[in-house]
Amino acid sequence: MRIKPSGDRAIIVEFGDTIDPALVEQVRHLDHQIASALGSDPHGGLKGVLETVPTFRSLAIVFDPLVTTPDAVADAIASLPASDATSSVREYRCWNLPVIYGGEHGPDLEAVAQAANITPQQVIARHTNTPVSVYLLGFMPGFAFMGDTDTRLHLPRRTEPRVRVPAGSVGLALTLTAIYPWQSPGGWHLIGHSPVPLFDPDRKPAALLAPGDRVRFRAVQADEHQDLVAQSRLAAMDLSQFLEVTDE
Amino acid sequence: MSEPLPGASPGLRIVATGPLASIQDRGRFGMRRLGIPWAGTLAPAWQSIANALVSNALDDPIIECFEGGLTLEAIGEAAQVAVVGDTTVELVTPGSEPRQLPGWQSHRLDLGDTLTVRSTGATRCAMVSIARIELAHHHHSASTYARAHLGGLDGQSLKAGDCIPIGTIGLKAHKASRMTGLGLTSADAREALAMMCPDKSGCLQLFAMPGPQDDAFDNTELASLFENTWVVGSETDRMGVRLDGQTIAHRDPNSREIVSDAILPGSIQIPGNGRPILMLADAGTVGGYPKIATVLSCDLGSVSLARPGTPLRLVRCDKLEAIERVRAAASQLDRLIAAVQPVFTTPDTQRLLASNLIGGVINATED
Repeated sequence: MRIKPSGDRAIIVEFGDTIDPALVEQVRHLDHQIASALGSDPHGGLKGVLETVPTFRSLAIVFDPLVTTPDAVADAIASLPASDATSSVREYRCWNLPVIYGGEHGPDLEAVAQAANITPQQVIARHTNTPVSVYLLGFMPGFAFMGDTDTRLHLPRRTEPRVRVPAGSVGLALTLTAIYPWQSPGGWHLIGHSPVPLFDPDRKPAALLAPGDRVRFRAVQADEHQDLVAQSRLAAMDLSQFLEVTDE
Repeated sequence: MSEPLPGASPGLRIVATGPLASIQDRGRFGMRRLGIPWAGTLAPAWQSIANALVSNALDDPIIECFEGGLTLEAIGEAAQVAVVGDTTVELVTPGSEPRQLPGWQSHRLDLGDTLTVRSTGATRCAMVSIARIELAHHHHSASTYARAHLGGLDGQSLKAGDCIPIGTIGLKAHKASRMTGLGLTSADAREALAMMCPDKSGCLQLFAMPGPQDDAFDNTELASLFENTWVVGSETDRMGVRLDGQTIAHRDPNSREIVSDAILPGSIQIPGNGRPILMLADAGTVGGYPKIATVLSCDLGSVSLARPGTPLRLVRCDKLEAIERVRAAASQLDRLIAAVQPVFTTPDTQRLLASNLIGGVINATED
């Protein structure tokens, strides 16, 4: 565990630099320890801590620099009481999310196929045949980091991030895949588009996907895609249609 | 005081809006873990001053407007409004000639009066505060985060025809006491403006601490970040700003990206093309490009309000100096807020104001 500076109002506690469920668990554990300490009174050395941001391999601890200092927070982390929180089995849902691949919706499909030395059809097959799970939410509201993808689809981010990635774009980067819930800048390779609304501020919970959820992608053709896009514009789109029915 | 129009709730109607004017408070905290950015004002110091000038809580929502073009009309009841920035502001009372209002103080808008921000001068942005502004919170904040339709009036930037509601408790009878509002002295106003402007060298100075991924760069590349003069790029929005200049090389091809790690406003990301991106208020919560350094929170306002083409330098500092600087900036702001004082008008000054001969703040001691 390394503590790294992140400006005047945060430190990053880093457990590693890979995508590994064991690291995710370590991050979750420290996050839980801090939440417990903040929930008890007095907060002791954690006075001034405002929020924490768990990622794959690190926990950012954000604090008020008028109240505390990076060193005081780091010292407090080092002396946190051991937490008895064990990795609990959480409930999760299985989703089946429609994607239209290639063409205008997936401008990088050909390039991904070339980089992987397979055909675009094989990229689609490998993306739909490998169920992924949600590691974490982050980047923007409703954005879910999902993995791991088929090993042939592993590739670095684009060196030139796009200024505008359309909402609904399905991207690949590293061992991961994701759907951009909103138009935004982005550096992932875009292979398709999904019409499923991933975040609605008026919905509870607002984000469709939650950490731990399982996701399988399903290739759809233009007709069905257009139909779903039209449905998604209605406030009352039935999201249960995307839940996978599992055999007990 | 004007009689309220029957049926019109008190508020300010947006008659016209410049580009991307939006409602912002301090931000939407505590939900970065869900991917929800802070958003919030680009320059909390100016937001605080603007709110102090209308006796609001310092973190109440304000309107951030870019360049000129925003026009507000008081409907339903009189309103008290302040404009903060290097602005030219015009007040139109129906049937009268337009008159210019001095900045850095609050003014009463009688029913039917309109206030227009004509230009924002030295910065690209100005802030308008409204006494007793009353807005609902979405996910714990009124800040507009248009990307995900959060906050503001309807999750979007302001548009003509929108109405910003204000509370119904009557305004204090300023007229009886000849007090027109609250203001900063011209010396304090200059100091508040200078907080967001380049210094005498013509460059913005932003203090920054190396890290968290400074180890993805050689020492010479890290040093070049602090030695070069950068320019605010044309690709700038509430999310981030590109710093134009030279490129920064990663230590090796494997350092060009990292497994996604937390981002905060102030993070300087170096994507594969080597062109730095400084993240601002709407920064996403995590990202996969290494962050070579982090600009101090107290220095983000000036670059957020800077126009494309503004030169800037990054000044290296350590964590002790960082805490000292951020606390000194807070003290400076506290002093300015404490120096807010009543502005009075006399029959003479009213006549002078009407003929546009006086622009500065009138000191309370004149009354």
